[in-house]
Amino acid sequence: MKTLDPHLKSVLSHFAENYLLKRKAALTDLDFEAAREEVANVKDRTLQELDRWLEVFEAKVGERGGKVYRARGIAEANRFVLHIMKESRADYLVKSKSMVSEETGLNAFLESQGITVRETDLGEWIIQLRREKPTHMVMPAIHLTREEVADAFSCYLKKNIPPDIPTLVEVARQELRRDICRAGVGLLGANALIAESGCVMLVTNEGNGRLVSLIPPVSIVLASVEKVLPTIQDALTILKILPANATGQTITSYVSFLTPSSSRPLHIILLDNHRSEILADPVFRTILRCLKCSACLNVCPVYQALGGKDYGAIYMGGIGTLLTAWMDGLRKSRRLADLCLGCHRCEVFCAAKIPIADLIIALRERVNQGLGKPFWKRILFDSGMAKAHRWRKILATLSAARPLVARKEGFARRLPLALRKYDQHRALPAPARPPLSRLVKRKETRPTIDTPKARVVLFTGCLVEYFYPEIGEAALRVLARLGQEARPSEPACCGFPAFNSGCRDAAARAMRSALVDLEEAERILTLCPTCTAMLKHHGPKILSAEIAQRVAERVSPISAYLFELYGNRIQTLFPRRKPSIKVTYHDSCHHKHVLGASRGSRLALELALGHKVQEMDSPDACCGFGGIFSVVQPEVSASLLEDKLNALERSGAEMVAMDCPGCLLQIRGGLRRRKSSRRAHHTIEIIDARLAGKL
Amino acid sequence: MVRVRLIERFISSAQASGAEVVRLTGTDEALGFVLSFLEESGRPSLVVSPEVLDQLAGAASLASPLPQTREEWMRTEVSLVRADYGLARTGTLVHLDRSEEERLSWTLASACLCLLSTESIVDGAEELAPVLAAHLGRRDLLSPAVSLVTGPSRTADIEGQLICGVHGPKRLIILLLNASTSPTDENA
Repeated sequence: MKTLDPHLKSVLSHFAENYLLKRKAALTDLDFEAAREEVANVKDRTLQELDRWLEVFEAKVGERGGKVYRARGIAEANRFVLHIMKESRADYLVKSKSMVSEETGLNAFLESQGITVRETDLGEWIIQLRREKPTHMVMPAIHLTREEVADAFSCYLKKNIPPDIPTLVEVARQELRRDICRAGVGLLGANALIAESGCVMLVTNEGNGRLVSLIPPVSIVLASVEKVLPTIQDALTILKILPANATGQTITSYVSFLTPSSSRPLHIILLDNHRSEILADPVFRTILRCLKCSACLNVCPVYQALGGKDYGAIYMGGIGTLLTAWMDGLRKSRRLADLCLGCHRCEVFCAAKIPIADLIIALRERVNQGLGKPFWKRILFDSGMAKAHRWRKILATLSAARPLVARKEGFARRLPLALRKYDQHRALPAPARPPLSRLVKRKETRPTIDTPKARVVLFTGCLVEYFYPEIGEAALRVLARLGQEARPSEPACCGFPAFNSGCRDAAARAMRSALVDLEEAERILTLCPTCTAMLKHHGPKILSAEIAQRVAERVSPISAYLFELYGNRIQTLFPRRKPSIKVTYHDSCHHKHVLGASRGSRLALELALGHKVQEMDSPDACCGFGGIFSVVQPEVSASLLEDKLNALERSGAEMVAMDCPGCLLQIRGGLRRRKSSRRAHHTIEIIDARLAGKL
Repeated sequence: MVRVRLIERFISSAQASGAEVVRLTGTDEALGFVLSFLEESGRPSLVVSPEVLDQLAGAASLASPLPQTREEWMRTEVSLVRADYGLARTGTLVHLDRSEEERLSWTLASACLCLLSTESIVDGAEELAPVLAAHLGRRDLLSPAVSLVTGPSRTADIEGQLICGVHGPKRLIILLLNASTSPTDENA
């Protein structure tokens, strides 16, 4: 897919950095985890009795003279609006921001019926004048410059408007006030519908929602059914977190609670549009917790690289992918699901604790079931990875082919021209010969320990086994030095690539084979966060066998195990002389966002070095690897890698450490392509070098 | 939280949101401030929300007649309103709207002056949940509503640059009354 031009990329990157800073400040006095737990509880509790609360809401609105319409689909919702317009003898409608009206395609429908529609949210108005679609759910015109806005205004008003932002805003104020006065009907969205009071909560900054609700003689609220909440207390629970997560504010300029008025007709249209089906689906129902805060979009690395135009869906980002599957069908959502890196960053930021990345994996499974698996998935996963013996053979053959593909310093030759996009931005590693398991047997890397303090198994994973055996050797040396009797596991795939691609059966079969060798292990240590996540979190979900649970309980990343053994005393193991080399640390996505192990690894690294790491900008920004993602989306992968390497160079560090062999493949290969002298290593390699006094 | 700290926090939060805060000791001083504000602004028209007159009767002499049409409301230059509560954590003004005129007064003026008593400041909106629910359930009002207003109207829709006054007030000036705090309050 086409990535953004440098200007837009820099706008989005500036926005993302600013968002994180403002959000952090806005959450200073709030326990975010507790607050979002509360939001999730409120939403789940309400969703369990959604029909009941909708009935209460409808009755309360009716008591106050308002009218509620229940629309099953978008056509019905649009017809209701048209009916109200006709009943009110109005041909001019002003709107405040409403995502649901984007979902129903209301503007185009009403315009086709001869009704003039005017957006009043500044960003939406700009987009309307330019006949574009929003590129962000909260900041619809984020992709435009002031010059482009001035051009749109000049063209519309037929006079020259200078590209000066305060002037542009003043022009909008004057023009939109005139439009609001002219309108016969005002249409609003809703952030919550409160059943006990029959009122609508509106959260805005510009204040156009207030004008639209106050000036036109008739008001319409268009909202989706899951916005209903039992009490005002519940709405305030949401309000604690919504502005901070959406725009980094403690609260927006205006929060209005509106009830129907006997002097001004209020019509409330509640749209279902497949939400009842989502609610009935035990896997996906948590989607309906969503507050539409856009945080998942704001922190999505793929959105940063692509912008909103190419999403081609009303709701963008992770949550948008999931909603699109129901609203526009599996076919459309397949393309969006392929855009997910699986970094899980959205889950960490989600205001309602929706397991977005996990649900996207589940969606891929539904897509595979509903539309059939693509050929490559059947070959790679069902015929390859799922069959442990065959998988080992394939990788062993690759290893044997090293002399044919290897160039120097462990890198492979360039791919043929037709495949150049896969190694344009990063040199690929050559397969190792021999792989780790054979190397250990041959070189006796595993020293004998007379009285071992503990017996552990090192689960090496495919990348360490077949591409980076030196990492496995380093880990074995470190463990031996610390009195741990360690052996590498038999070569086996944890099954994650298949699982992540929605091929659950293949993943389960691969994993079952991998677990055989781990069954008796007292402790299982890992060198790859993705394998760890598979063994620890996903495994017990896809394999009901008791062994999966037992293994899950015994798995730890190696850095966490070192801390378990020594705590901060680990420092005493290293030579006193501190290396002068400047080292920075890259937080791998699964290590940080899924395992929460990044802080421990960073600390272990710093204790080993005897000094702080030299931080780079956004150390937790994804490097763009994402396993199969980097093959499916090579352009996005390259764009993210470029950002990471730029940050790395700006930091001034001579070496970058990380805990994921996948990130290592990407970053080391990227440095190679840039002919950089900077080195990339797994954290355990640096710890090993320090213990041996080699660094 | 000790009241004096609540007040300080309210002021700093309100200022951070872009509101201006003026501390005044009583209604006479408030009236004097409104008068001098109008003088300095070139004597614009002043819409006084009806409920303000209960607290600041003298404001009647400064007020223009209430607008009658929506076009007249749109031309409002300065309004004088009264908040029922203040929220210290966010610098928010809470108004229990009793009529549409009150809501229009808060929304349409270029500059909105708002009276707030220091005794009405609480920490956060959660403390007011029963009050808000009771108000929204009132049967004696045609259209009960609640407004939480924090700073002036704002947008960052063009290049992310923050600009005040895109739709609502460009300035929000909070006239904080009875700002002097007694020792009893401090020990509360």
